[in-house]
Amino acid sequence: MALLEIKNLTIEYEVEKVVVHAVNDVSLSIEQGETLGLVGETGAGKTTTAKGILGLIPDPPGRIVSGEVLYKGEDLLKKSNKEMRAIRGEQISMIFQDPMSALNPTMKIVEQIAEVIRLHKDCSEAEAQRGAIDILEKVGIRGERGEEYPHQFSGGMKQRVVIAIALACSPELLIADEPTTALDVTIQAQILEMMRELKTEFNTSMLLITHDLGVVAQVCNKVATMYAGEIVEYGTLEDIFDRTSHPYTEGLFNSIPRMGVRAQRLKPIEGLMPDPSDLPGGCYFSPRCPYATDKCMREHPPTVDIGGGHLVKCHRYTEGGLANG
Amino acid sequence: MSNTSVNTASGKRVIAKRKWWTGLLDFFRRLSKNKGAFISMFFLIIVVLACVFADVISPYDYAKMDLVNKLQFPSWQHICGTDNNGRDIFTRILYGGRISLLVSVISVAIATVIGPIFGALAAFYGGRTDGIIMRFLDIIMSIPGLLLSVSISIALGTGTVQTAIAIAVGSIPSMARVMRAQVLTEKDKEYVEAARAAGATDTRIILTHILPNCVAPLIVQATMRIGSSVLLISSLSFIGCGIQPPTPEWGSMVSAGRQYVRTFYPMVLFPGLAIMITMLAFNLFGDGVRDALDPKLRR
Repeated sequence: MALLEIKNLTIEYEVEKVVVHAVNDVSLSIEQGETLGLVGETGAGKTTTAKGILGLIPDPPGRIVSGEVLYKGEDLLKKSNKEMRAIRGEQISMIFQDPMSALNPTMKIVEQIAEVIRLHKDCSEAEAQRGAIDILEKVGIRGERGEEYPHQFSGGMKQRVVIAIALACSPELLIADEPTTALDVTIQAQILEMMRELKTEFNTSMLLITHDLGVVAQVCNKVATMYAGEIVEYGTLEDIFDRTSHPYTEGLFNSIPRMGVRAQRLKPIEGLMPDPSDLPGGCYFSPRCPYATDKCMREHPPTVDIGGGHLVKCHRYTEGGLANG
Repeated sequence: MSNTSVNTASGKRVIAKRKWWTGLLDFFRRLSKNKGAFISMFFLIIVVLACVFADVISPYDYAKMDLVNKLQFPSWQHICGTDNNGRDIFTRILYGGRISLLVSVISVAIATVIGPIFGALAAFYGGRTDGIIMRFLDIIMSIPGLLLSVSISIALGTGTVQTAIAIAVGSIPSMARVMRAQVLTEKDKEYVEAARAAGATDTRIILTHILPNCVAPLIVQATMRIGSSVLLISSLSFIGCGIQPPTPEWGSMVSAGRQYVRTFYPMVLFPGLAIMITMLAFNLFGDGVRDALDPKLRR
C-alpha cells in the first residue's frame, strides 16, 4: 500500500461567482521512502495540491469538490479538524517556499522548533527544548544560536530552521513547497544535499514541489508534470527525463539550457498558461502545443499508460492517435 | 524527544526559573537604553508612590476647608497654594492622583483586554463573525463618547470600578479596530500558515503567533488612551456622575479652577501640570516598552 495516494482530487476557488479550477482530477501516489517531484510552472496548482493534502485550503473561497486523499489507507478529507491537527506536523509536515516569512519574528528559534514537539509529543518544556536543540544541530546550526531571533539569521540559515521545524517530529511524509526557490544557487545545493541526507536518516517520504528540473534530477525517484491543474505526465525519473512523452514536458526541457548542446536560442513554450477560470475545451495544452490537431481542440485526452506506469495525458498516445477521432 | 536524560523534573524547574528572570532583566536592560522611557518609568513610580503615601507626605486633610486661608498663592506652608475653599492644592493633587490614575489605568486595562479580543476574533475568522462584531462595535462608536460614559455611569452608579467600566466601554471599539487591522495584515503571513501546518490550534495561533506580532500599536494606543481617560473622568465628575466631591480628582480640580483662571492661576496650573507631565511620562514609557519588546531592535 502506498503511503499517500491521491485519487481524482479536484479543488476549486470561487471568488465572486467566478470559479477557478485550480486542481482538476489529480491522482498520484507516494510509496514509503520515495521522493515524488511535482513539476510545473507558476499557477499550475502545485501548491494548492499540497495544501489540499494537509487540509489547509482556505474555505471560503477554496473548496475540495471531489476526490480522496488516502494516507495509510485513511481518507484525510473525511477527518475532523482535531484529527487533522494531530497529523499535521507529526505525520505530514510542510516546508514553505519563503523562509524569510515562514518564521515568527517575535519568537526565539528554539521555541519555534520546541513548539512543534510540544504540540505532538507528550513531554516537558525542557525536553522539548532539548529536542529542538538536537534537531537544530542536525541541520547544521550551533545549538546556542537557538536563543536568537529569525532576523539574526541569513536566508539559507532560516530555511535550515524551517526544515528543522518540519523534521522535528520525524514525519512520515514531508511536503516541500519550492524549498530552494528563494535561495541562491550555492545555498540551494547545500540545502538539497542536507534534505536528502535527513530524508534517508529519518526514512521520510517526500513530495517535492518545484519548477526546477535540475532539482528534480538531483533528488526525485518519480516525477509528475502538472499543467493547468492536471497531471499531464507521470513516471519514474528515467521515464520523464529519458523518454519524455508529453509535449508540455518536452517544452519544459527545451526551455532550459543544456551543456554540450550548442543552441543559438532556447526554445521557450509559446503563449501563456490558460486562465484557470476559463479553461479551453479539449486538451488544456492544445493552444500552445506544436502537435495540436482538431481532435486536441475538441476532446479532452484520457490518461494513457505507455509502459510500466509511465502515464501520459495526450492524444498522441491514445488509440487511433491524433488523426482520426 | 523520547531519549532524554533522567533528571528532567529538576532540569525543567531550573530552566523555567532562569528564563523568567533573564527575560525580565533583558527587558529592563533594553528599556534603559531609551533614556526618556527609563526616566519616565522612574517618574511614574515616584508619582504612584506619592499618591499611595499621600497621607504620610502631606500634613493636610484633602477635604478640610479653611476659608480664612483660601486662594493663597504658593508658599512654604502650601507649596501649590490653596483653592477657593482653602484646601491645600498639593494635598488634593496627591489624593486626586489616586483616583485619576487608578480609574484611568483600570479603564484602559479593561479596554486593552476586551477590545483586542473582539478585534482579533473578527479579523481571524472574517466573514460573518467579522460582520457581527464590527457592526456591534460601530454602534457603540456611533454614540458620542461622553453620552455613552454618562449613560453607563448613571446605570452602574458611582464608584471607582463603575467609573472605570463606563470609560472603558467607549475605548473598546477603537482598541478593537487597531487590533483588527493589525491581525488582518499578520494572519496571511506565511508563519501563520506554517504554524497551522505544524498542527497548532486556532487559539494557539492567535495567542502565541499573531498576538505578539500585533502588540506594538496596541501599546501606543493604550498609553495615549490613559491621557484621554483622565479627561473623560473629569468630564463625568463635572456632570455629576463618576467620582463624587469632595473626593479630589485631577480633571475636576482643573474644571473647578476655571472661574479663577484670570485672577488665581494655581488652581488650574498645578493639577493641569500633574495631568500633562504624567501623560507625557505614560506616552514616553509606552514608546519605550514597544521598542523594548520588538526583537528586531535588540542587539
